[in-house]
Amino acid sequence: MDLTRKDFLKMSGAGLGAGALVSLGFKLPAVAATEPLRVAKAKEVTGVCSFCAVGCGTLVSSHEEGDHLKVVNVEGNPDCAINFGTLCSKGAATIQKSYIDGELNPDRVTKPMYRAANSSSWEEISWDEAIKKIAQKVKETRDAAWIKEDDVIGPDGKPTGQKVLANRTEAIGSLGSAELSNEGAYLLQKVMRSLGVVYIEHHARL
Amino acid sequence: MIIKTEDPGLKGVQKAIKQYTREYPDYADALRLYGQVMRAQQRTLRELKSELEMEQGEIDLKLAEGVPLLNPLELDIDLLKYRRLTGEICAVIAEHGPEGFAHCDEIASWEGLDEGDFARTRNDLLTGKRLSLGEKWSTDEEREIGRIILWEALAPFYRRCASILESKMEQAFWLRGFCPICGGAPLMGVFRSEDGLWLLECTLCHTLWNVQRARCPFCDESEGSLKYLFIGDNETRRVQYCEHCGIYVKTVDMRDTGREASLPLENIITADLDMAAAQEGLKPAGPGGAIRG
Repeated sequence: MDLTRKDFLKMSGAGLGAGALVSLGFKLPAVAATEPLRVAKAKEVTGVCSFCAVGCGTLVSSHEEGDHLKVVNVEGNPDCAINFGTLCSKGAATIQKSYIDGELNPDRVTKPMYRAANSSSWEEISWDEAIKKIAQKVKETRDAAWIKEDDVIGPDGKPTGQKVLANRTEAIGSLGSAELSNEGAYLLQKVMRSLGVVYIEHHARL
Repeated sequence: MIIKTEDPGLKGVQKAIKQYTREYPDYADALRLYGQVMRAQQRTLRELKSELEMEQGEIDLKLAEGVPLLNPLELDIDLLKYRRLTGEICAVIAEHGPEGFAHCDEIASWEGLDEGDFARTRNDLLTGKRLSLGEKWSTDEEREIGRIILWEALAPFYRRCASILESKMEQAFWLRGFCPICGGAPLMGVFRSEDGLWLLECTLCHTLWNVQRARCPFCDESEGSLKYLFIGDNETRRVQYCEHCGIYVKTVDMRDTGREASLPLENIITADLDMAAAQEGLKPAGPGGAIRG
């Protein structure tokens, strides 16, 4: 790019910066260089650490490579009032979920995987298949382990012969996520309760 | 959060010039010249006193409303000291500039620096209006140099007032792309060494203020539009720019360096970033340094 001294001066701010110094006759190497600049582009976006319930703010940096972005760094977000730019060792290694030493992490699961009963290998299936299988298993398990009623226990600790409606299953448990919002967590427990699931847990204490 | 800008003082300037000329020998002459200007500014700053007072409630209210704390067009400036500093900067450029400087006497005798005209000159400078420097200034380039000298001589007067106000300034109320104290454009930015907080330095009063990483400080339509470019593999010096408004500010990442940056000197050694930004069709934040607010 050919820039005259005047052009360069226009680019400068108000003070005695590089543009003014060039105008004063200094031969700054950056301006005198004839080789094209090797310019790379990148982007930073904010995120939330995916490990524990603290929810530390992160900054995820990605380089432009052709028509896509490649994540190159994850660091603490200094603007986040939860962690003020810091991350624990797990959080600081978040990038390894996607890339290890710049290469895609081969262990990262990006599609639904299915392992049939008694099989030792996993096979890739579609989301439609996965959701259908989950629904089938939930239905089968729920039906097989449905508790319709409970005995009413007397003061002596023995059944009184009376029954009370229970409508629950103890064969299914739900483990929520620390990354769920309050609204998401509410909806999850609501779905579970509507299925009769009583073992509803969350990994917020991790 | 309160951020205090540390004035380097004469020793600090000397140390910074020594360090930068050692690290960037190709820029040594330019850095030394600017170092002399900084020393002259620091000497004047040391002489200045300010009795500026502002209630905390007024400060908080102005910041929350997006109004800079000072009206830079109404600041009292000691004209005698201003004229002396202008002369010193002219002398530095005449002595250390490769092509000298032919207009020292014209600036010294210019009626724009007389008592009656100075307020208008100061306000034209700050608002980016053309200065009527006279016929002896034959080219736009010369006039721009004259303007820059006059601008540099203003800096210590605004710095003195800013140093009083910044200690009462809650940064969370601001987060904008122009100076919370005088409304000046940012000269450059830095990712603070201890935590990576993005701070911008005012081109006029040299106050440091905080803006959010990953958000454009210059426009409101910035969701996801802030990007950066860098040269080669050196991501520590970058151009932070907004795809939406096309404004950029150069920023240096001081984490892991074990030292503090001198942003006026960084501004000189990162001229290649200005060129890269120009190639991309980006505009600097505040060309000509006109104030806002």
